[in-house]
Amino acid sequence: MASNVLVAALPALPAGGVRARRVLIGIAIAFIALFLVLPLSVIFAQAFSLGAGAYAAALADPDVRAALLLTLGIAVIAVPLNTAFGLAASWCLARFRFRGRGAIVALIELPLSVSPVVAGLLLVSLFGRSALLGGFLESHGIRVIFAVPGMILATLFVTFPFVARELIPLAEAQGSEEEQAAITLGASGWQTFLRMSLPKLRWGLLYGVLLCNARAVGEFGAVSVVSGAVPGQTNTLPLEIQTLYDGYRVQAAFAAASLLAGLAIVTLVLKAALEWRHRDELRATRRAHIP
Amino acid sequence: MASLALPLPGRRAFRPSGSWIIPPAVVLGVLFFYPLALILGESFAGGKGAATLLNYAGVLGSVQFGSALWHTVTIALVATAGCLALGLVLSLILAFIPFPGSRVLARVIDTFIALPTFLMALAFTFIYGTAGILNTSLMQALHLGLPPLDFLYSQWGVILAEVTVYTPFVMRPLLAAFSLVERAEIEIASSLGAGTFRIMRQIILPAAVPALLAGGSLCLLLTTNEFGIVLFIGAKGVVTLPLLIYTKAIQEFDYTGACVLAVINVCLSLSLYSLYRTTLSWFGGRSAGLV
Repeated sequence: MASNVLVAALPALPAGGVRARRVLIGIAIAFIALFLVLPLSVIFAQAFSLGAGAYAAALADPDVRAALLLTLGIAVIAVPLNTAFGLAASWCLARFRFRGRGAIVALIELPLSVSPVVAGLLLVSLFGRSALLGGFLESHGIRVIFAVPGMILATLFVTFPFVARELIPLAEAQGSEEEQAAITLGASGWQTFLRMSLPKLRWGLLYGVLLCNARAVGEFGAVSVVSGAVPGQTNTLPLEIQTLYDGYRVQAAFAAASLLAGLAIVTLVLKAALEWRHRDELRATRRAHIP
Repeated sequence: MASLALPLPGRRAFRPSGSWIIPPAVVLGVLFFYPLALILGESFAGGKGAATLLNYAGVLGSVQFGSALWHTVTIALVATAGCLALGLVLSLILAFIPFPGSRVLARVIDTFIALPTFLMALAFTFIYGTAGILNTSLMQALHLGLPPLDFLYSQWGVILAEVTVYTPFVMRPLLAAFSLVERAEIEIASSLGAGTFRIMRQIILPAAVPALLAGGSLCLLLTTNEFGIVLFIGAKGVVTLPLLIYTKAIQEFDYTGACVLAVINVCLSLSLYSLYRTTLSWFGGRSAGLV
């Protein structure tokens, strides 16, 4: 849960002089300035270092355009799939007690514990040309490794846990009384899910989707192992940034990086706006949560 | 969920949905365990057909591996310690010393989570690098001939970037834990004469321990597996296990060597992962949900 909204409800520590307080607040602000605002401004400053014309030219580069489209395309496939899975998994895990439940929870979070590079290597071992499955697909004209399907699979794998792990605890905390009431009153399973369960999960869902999307768009390690990094074809934005940077086209690299940073900022502003618009309702859910 | 013990008229309508999660779980199993077995096989047989330990002996005995393991472990441990310290301080400030804008600041920290990690490393090279903003301005201000700060292209640069990127992963559970601290408890303690430090030690820190442990073990896991930051900082001689695997597989075409290293890396991260799961289950489901 995005706990930030809770901050306002906390008690202030009593003692502590005004000066100590100011120093501490200063530390917090300095941290944000030095480690977040400064790097972000550097990205944009470098992107515009040769003027707006050069920035526009860098973004108009067909390779950068292709990379942007590929990145967005992969996210458009991976995020909804993992969201649907996260919803289904959290709902089932919260409602049913069955054997092996703990193992499934552990399995869902497993991709978090595997290094992205290893995740990529796992795909190579499965779909590589010399592998059984990979060889079979290759002989039927389907290429997975060093092609887009492999990159989609890699992204699916690394972003797999993000929605589910936000939702599972939320769904568990909610209990099932209202759903039972709905079912008793004759609602179907789908109706119950859409009208009773989903609304209560939506803030966790928002956060999970945001995390999942951020990772899908910015994934570097796993995708770079399976991509082959052909500019204009299998380069996502992160890989294109690396290609440009390694080719000493620094301004162009930062222009591409500014797209990624911009994407991140836009999603966060959207999230903040949504939370602001529904702040009363959000507060109510939060309150219901805290025992 | 004890409430399920009630005789539920609609319970049967729920039941079939439990099978939803099985297909994705199977897919994950196939995408993870089968290729893992393939990699394990490759690491032993190495294309020669017969299983030997020679591949392992070769890799484990190499200087490259020793150095990579050393770098991986030190970077992960120091970065995690840094995340815990910084996360604790920042969360305490944001949670207990409200100031105008503290809520906005807490929200801004969310930005880190949405930013691709390697972007930070990219920006850092332009801030803290030898030709970066910080060094050039220090050189101008102090009339120095050489850049005074030369830490970025070393382990410390990687650690700094990882601390920056992963501190929010500690702060989130911490802020959530702090929100559960009873306001009344602090007020009573304070009216009974307890000072700030006593309140911290006896009320606030005990509440923070589960969050610190869970957030810390997650950080340890993520820093052990980090790839993008290490690659983009590009410090000479600072090679971690994931980076070494990448180098072997992609640049040296030494697939067998990469597989041996991947097996070792997976062992390392799976043991860290079980540490993380144990920590979570130790403190029960509720704190688990907060991480």
